[in-house]
Amino acid sequence: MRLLETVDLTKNFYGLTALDKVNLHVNKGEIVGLIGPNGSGKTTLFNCATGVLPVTGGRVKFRGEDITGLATHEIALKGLSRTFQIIRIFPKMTVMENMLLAVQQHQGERILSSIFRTPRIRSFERKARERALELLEFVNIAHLNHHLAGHLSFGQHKLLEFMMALMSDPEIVLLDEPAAAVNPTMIRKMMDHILQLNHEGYTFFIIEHNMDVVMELCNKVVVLNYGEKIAEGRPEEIKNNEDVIEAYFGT
Amino acid sequence: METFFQLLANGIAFGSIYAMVAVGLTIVFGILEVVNFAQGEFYMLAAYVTFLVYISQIPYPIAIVIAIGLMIITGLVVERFAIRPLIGRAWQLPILSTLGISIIMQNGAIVIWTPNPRTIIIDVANINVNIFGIVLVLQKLLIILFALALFIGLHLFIQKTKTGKAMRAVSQNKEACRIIGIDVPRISAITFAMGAGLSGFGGALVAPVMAIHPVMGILLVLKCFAAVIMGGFGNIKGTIYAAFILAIVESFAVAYLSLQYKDIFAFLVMIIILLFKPAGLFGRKVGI
Amino acid sequence: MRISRLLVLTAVGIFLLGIPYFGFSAYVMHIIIFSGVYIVFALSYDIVVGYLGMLSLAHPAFYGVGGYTSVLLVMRLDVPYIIALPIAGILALLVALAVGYPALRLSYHSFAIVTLAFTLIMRAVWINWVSLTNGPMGIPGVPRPVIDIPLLGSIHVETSTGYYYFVLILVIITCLFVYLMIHSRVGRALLSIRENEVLAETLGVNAFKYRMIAFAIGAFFAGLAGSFTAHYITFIGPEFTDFYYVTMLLIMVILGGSGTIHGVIIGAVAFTFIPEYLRITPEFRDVIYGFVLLLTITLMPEGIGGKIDEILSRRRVRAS
Repeated sequence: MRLLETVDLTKNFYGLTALDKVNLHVNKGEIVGLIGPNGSGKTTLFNCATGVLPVTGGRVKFRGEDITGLATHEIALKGLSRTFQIIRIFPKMTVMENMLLAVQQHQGERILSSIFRTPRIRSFERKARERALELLEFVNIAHLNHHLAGHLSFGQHKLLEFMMALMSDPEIVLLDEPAAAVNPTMIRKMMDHILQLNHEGYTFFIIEHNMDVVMELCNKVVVLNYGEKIAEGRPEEIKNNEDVIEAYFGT
Repeated sequence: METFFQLLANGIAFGSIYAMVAVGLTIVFGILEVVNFAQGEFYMLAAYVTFLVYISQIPYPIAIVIAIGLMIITGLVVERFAIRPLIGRAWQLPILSTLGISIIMQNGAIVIWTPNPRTIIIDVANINVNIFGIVLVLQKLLIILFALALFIGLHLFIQKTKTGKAMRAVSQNKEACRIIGIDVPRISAITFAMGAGLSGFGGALVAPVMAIHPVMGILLVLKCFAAVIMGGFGNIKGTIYAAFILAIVESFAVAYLSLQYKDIFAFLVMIIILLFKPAGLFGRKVGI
Repeated sequence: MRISRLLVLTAVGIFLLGIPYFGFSAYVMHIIIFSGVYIVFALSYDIVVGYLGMLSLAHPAFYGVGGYTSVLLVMRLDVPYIIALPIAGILALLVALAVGYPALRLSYHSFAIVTLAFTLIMRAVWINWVSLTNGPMGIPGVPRPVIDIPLLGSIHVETSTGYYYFVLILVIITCLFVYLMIHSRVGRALLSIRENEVLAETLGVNAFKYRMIAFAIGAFFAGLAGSFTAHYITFIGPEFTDFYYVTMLLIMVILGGSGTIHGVIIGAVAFTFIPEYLRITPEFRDVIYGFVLLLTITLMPEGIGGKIDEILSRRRVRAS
């Protein structure tokens, strides 16, 4: 099933075309890589898909449903999660508070019952905490849950951000350069986590520059250059694709 | 019974003043990214200075110059000590600072000069001028002409001079300006001083035609806020148009609708516009 | 730490309950009661300015809405005060929702200006809608609260002591509510919006919805404060929606410590007492307030409450 799909997705910024009729899709259960030289529009595509940027043309579909133009939080509630290139967490809150923030009840959320902590809310919170600890345990930072998120190391930040994206039990997770600026041991751990989570049913769409990561993790790779999709296929095919090589290295 | 054109002329005269003060607001916002809640007070203080200088037997034209000069100096002081230290920190701080300054100036004026309105009578200014059947006191005509000259001068300044170009650059991208060596604090100071001077000019010009009292600034500046919002923060042309539109609407509304709610027409117009175009009539143009 | 905090609270509680018996003069009791009102008013403002982080200049309008609503309900429609009070708050809340719906979509700067415009418009309404509000003269002779408890009789709130306990209940309710709110999901969501709105939205937080909630709750308590004041000084008038209250609230909240309950309480009490003991004209007082505001913003923007928190957390870090 096509979990996430873009149809002729186009994005213009004051005359600069960042995305030009991009057609791609991510099937359920896949790990798809999105690569391309700097400035090719990868993060812009993520931003358009998650409602952070308004779309100029084309459509974005999630589980067949048109989500173009929906607000970011609405898209998040539908089961689409993401991380950012420059890590975004809340440094002045504790790790646990960061995790708890990442779970939102659906639109029926009652404000007063939240404030007065009715039994339903309390059990909801308890379950949320349990899940948070589970996820933090999965990446071995559960012991830090009372620490201020700002005090964590860079690698731990990335793991926290990753786990926050999973708190809402999304169907698909968009990772923006998970291996950037991370040491090799950590990269290895990241990849193992992603593979394991993929086994458990999570679909991944990953922007990455690190080709080893892409080659090893991804079932399929999509290549962008100057806002256009120039290639798509299995990692081995892409590695030897002439257009791709030219895009990255010139002729 | 005031004719259509009479009301229009009145509106244009007031619009000139609104526009002057509003442009001061908008350039300060465009370059310092600060909403100057004290802008009306520069207008008010200039009116008082004009009054004080004039009753000391100094000719009115010189009084205008002195008033504007003092406002420029005040503007420089305020920018240096109450605004510059706060830029870069939480966005609310500079605004709260100007709010504090506005409170100090307004109440200071009440303390020093009492709330009783003052007036100056300049016989020449009160001559009725008859143009195509429209009767205006000379002063109002002068206001319109001065405003016109001012806006032309401002346009030339911003388009042609080095400082003007630097101002445009800063309003578009402050960081880039710092990198290429434009003295951003200096431009900020100049801009704020200009804003104060513009407002002061307006105050000095209305002194002969309006009662001078400590809260005259607040009543005016809110309408100028409306003009800035409608015209687009940082957008000089838009602000000027919006200011005139507001003044003209006000002029007609007061005549045909209700005198009681006179001061809130501007807000109603502003609110209606914002409902349909949250970014203002002309949008927030990047740059001046 | 928890036990000592409980002990402190209990001690404070006993102290507060005993205040009417300490033999304060009627004048001092009057100031104490007013500081109670302003605690509620200032906390309600802090919800919007401190937790939501938006500069709203509409709070005096909500104060006025609360006051006029409860006075008109009690005097024209014979509604019992115990019902009129919450309705006053609810009406203020509804007005806030109506204003907030368009206004909260605007940029922060436009929002500040629009809320200011709203306050001025409300003031013009109070002054000009004479058939409803009696115009600039206001409505004197507002009846003191009478609370009918079935089977037990009526409580007439008339004396200093009566009003004191009443405002004390309001203060406790407000503090409790704010405390619960901060420590709930709502509080966390507000904090996340303030810290990083894009991230919050990506995590599913509907920033607009929470803005509306904070704005509305802030208005609710402002309305309650307005209602209490009207039935305490037995008068309601356009002065309730004076711009002066903005100055006052800003000083209380910012100097007191925006975002901290104890800080705002300190700010409210301090700035209710201090002006009473400064025998100066209101304008001179406001000039000083202006300077205080400037100095606070430049030198201590976290306020007294923030400073206290800083000192306490430094001590805690050293202890561990």
